[in-house]
Amino acid sequence: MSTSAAAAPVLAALDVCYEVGGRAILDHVSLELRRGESVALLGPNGSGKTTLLRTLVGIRRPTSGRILQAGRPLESLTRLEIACEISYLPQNTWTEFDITVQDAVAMGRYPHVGWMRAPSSSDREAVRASMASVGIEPLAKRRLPTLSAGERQRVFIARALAQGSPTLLLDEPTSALDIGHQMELVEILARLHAEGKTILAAVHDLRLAWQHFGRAVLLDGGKITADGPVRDVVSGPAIASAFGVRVRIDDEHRALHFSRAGTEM
Amino acid sequence: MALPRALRFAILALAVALALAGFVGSVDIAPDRVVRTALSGIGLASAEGVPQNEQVILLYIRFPRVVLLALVGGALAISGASLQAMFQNPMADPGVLGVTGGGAFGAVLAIYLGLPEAVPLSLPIFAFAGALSAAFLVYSLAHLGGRPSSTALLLTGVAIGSLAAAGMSWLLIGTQDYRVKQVIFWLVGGAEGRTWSDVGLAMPFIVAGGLVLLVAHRSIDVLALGDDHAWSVGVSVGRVRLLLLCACALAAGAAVSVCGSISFVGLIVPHALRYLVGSSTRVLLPCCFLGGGAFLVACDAGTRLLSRSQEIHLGILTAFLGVPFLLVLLVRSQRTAV
Repeated sequence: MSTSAAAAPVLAALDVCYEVGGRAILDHVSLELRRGESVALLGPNGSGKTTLLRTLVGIRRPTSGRILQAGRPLESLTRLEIACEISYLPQNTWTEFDITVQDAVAMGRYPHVGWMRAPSSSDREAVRASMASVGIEPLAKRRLPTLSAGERQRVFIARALAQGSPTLLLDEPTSALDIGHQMELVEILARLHAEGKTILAAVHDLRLAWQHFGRAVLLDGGKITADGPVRDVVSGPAIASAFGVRVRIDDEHRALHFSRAGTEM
Repeated sequence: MALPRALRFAILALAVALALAGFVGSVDIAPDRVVRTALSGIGLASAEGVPQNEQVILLYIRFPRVVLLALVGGALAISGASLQAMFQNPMADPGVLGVTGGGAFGAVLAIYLGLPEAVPLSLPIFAFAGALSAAFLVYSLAHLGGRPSSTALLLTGVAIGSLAAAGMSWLLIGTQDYRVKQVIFWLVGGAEGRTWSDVGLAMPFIVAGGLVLLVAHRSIDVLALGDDHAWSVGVSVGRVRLLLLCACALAAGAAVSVCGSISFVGLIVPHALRYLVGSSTRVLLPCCFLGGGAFLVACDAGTRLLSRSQEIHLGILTAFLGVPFLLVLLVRSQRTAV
């Protein structure tokens, strides 16, 4: 890799717009994700978080603007090349079909195995290591519809890890989980970040974002209205405008306090 | 490399079904004569001692019918299993591509125009053209508004299927009475009177479509998780789905072109086999091809046995078996959705 490519953001959106039926879902969004960062993508429902993630990974093509992966235009890369660099975990992990956990995780090797080649011992080892990493080895033979939402989420994180890409994009990974499973999941993400993964996760829980991410990007009405250290974004005025709440950080008890915007705290 | 146990079982099931179907017919033929004639057909034994009329019945009536049904059942089942996975919809089958309706419409049009009396091959050719045209129409119409969702594709298939049904009813009203029975055959499906030329007509397309689906099994697996998951691991969803749809249309279209619209095989067989061997298409798809063949050959043998007292078409028997199965499937999916 050239020096400039190494120095370039692993993922960048440059003035990206995405419109559906004349309505702007993303409105001149610019964003850089640097290697090793852990970024929370915040925003109220319908703010464009999922569309931004899907655009960043090439599922949606921007109406205008560009997406760069390590300095290279995304449209110049094949799907398999993108998959080797970025793993995307959609919000929906439900399936009707009785796919086993092991088979679902092994699907992460698709960009390496392709259509014709049989999985090698290194592919099988990558699958085993990914399952071990999120503690789902005992579930290997279970079928996906029999798992809880938390277990399923861990299976799909293992699938993303088996893909072997250095960047993880996650869409609301904690949304369907109870508090215990939420904590478990963000601890896994924190460990993956410590191991060198670059993470961008759409998160709707401001507390989780504040506790576990270094940087936050706030999307409101398709526009980025705040971007910076998570502490500044969470307690800033843009949050009040986006969510209709004011946030006060209680450092002593490591807690966030919320009040309706316009009322005293 | 050793074959998975499920696959060995499916091969055995097809072999048993083929053997049993060879023994069943309106004319009783001793099993040893059936075996000797079959072996003589592939050059492994002599049919000496088997009466000429029995050889003719076996080699030119019973065997082509059985071989054709093995291929057709396999094509419908493997297409159904692939479509269900790639649309993430357990209710999908070749009918949703418009293949069944389009094929039947093509056949009924040929009958309406009186073509089969002059050129017998015009019937399967029209049916095949109808099946592929309907699949192409479904795909094109679904893409009018941009990249379609799975639901949009399925609903377009249902719409084109309904259109084909309306067209057939219209043609049926204008069809001469003596041709109506021929039309009914295409509407309910069956293999009466099929010959080796029908096998030769359908086999290349069924084998080609089936092979593409077998080779692409990993892509089908990933699509079963959902389009976004498939995108994420590097599948070009639009292109791969088009290729898989073409493969399904070829295989199922060829099946419909020779045996009419036999319903429910694409639903019953994949779901029964998923229950037995799981959803991984590496094993499921070859099992469906073999199991679908075994199922249809066994059903046809059943119709021949039943027809000794009351005539019953193959497509009617598969519908009698398929409807209760579909209802059980619906109830089960509603329970898991709660």
